[in-house]
Amino acid sequence: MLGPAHYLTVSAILFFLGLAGFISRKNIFILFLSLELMLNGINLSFVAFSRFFNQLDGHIFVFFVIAVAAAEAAISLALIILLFKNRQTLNVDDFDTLKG
Amino acid sequence: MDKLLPFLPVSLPVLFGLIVLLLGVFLPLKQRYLLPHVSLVGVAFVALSAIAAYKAVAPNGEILGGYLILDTYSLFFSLLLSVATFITMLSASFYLERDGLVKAEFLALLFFCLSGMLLLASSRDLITLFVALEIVSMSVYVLVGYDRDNLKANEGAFKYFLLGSMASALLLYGIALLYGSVASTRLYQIHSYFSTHAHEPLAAMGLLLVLVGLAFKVAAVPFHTWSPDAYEGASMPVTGFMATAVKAAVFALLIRVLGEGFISLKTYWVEVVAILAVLTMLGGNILAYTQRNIKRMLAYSSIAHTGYLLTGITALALQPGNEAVSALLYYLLIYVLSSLGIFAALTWLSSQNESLVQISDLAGLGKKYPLTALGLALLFFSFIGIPPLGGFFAKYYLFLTVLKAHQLFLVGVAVLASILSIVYYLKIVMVMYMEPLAEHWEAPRIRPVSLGAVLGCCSFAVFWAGFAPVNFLNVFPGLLPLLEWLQYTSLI
Repeated sequence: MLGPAHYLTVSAILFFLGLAGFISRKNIFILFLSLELMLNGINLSFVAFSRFFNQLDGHIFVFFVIAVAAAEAAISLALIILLFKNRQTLNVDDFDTLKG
Repeated sequence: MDKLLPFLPVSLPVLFGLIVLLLGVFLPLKQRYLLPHVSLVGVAFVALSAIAAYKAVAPNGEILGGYLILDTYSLFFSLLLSVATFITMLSASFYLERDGLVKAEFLALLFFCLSGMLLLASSRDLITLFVALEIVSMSVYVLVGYDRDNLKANEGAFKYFLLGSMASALLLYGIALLYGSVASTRLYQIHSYFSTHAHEPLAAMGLLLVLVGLAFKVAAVPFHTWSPDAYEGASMPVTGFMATAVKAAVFALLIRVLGEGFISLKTYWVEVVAILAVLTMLGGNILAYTQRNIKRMLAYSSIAHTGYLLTGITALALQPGNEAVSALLYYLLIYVLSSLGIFAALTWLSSQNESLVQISDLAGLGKKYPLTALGLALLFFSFIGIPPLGGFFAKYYLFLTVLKAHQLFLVGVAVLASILSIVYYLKIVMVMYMEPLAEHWEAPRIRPVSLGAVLGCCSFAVFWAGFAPVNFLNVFPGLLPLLEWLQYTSLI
């Protein structure tokens, strides 16, 4: 029988995989992908809790998070296109004009 | 109409944003200069609607079944944020005209951001707080990168976006864990749950994640690395907007969440916030000293002010009563007004002189533009906390509430940090008055009547707060508890 603990473990694994990818990778696309992975891990734990409490709050929160993630995707893709157009690279280490 | 009135402050900015976008498309090119005027009127309407909405739902103030609340606290922030947006629009219209950037999107983004900030100031639920915070952040990401062909703007926006969205993810995971232990996202239910139940490790972990996420958003050391880059990449009016309105809005969230929702979990967060405050005050002031670029210097100076405000937040937990909140609001008010004045002046100066980047570029300003230099010097003195000015009283009241909460060490560090800050603020004033005029200044291209008025009003407010504190505290909503406390302890 699957209990909330199982779902929460999976969600934590997803979140921390995303976090690890975000910290260690250099390509902007992979960074962005890791971010989405983190958000989806969070969504899973919201739904698991919501189901466990027999409430709707968590489900509603998930819809908001999906909307926020979509908006984030729009902005990040626009930024990626802009950066590639101006710099011809997607490696994070190359963006180092601002320092101090 | 009565039912709709409370929602006006949040929905009017969205409406005005859409109107401005449509006008930007359909107005003939010759009439586009009207856009900033329309927006300024719009922001004035938003501020008026905030007052009307507050009056309509007083004294209870709860709307949407407690998801939102319109109290003096949210009224204070609504007015402060409207003023900051108003002044940003004013200075942006100068700046954008010079660079030939299309205005409608810029103004619309400011409106959307304002709507998010007003929602942030009045929400009492983690769902609305999160959504509002994201509305604010996303508008600001785009505003920072608004100058599309500028490599620095691209890079600043990109760094801000990456770290900002990671902070949002951490915050959100924290919220999920808290929801998991409380089974509710309402702040007052979280408070009442933890005052009767044992604190589980799940909740402590959630709280820690929320704190880290918020520390990123307010740019507390060691989570501040995005802020100087974003400040430097953004255009001057946007930098001013981030240093004033966005910072105030995030503090509105922080005070509401920690002071109202997590107050019964204070054993966990007080020490974390105290450590953050010490690091932020020392780090901000020391790093500001090493900067040559004026925007980066101001970024670190705003980090230092974040540190002072964080000391005030520890006082929130350790003592009952509203004077701690009030002292924080008073500090924010003075800080935002002084910063607005400084950024208005710098916006005008940099619209005269494209090479205004380094602090040394301000050389000789005292002779070239004596009034502007005087206003800037006054506001920097207020930042330092020179006694008769408002900045001194803001720090004094704030540190008094922290002392009352028995955080002697924090106050000691804060005073030390304030002394450190004298060095770099005075350096600017010295450069303005003591060094010969830099060559690159030309005759003024635009008469800066409105921005001069902004600088004048901000300097006047700082004076007024210093010389007639009782009068000043009475005028602004939300500051009354501080006044009553000061009178009770006969400090005024």
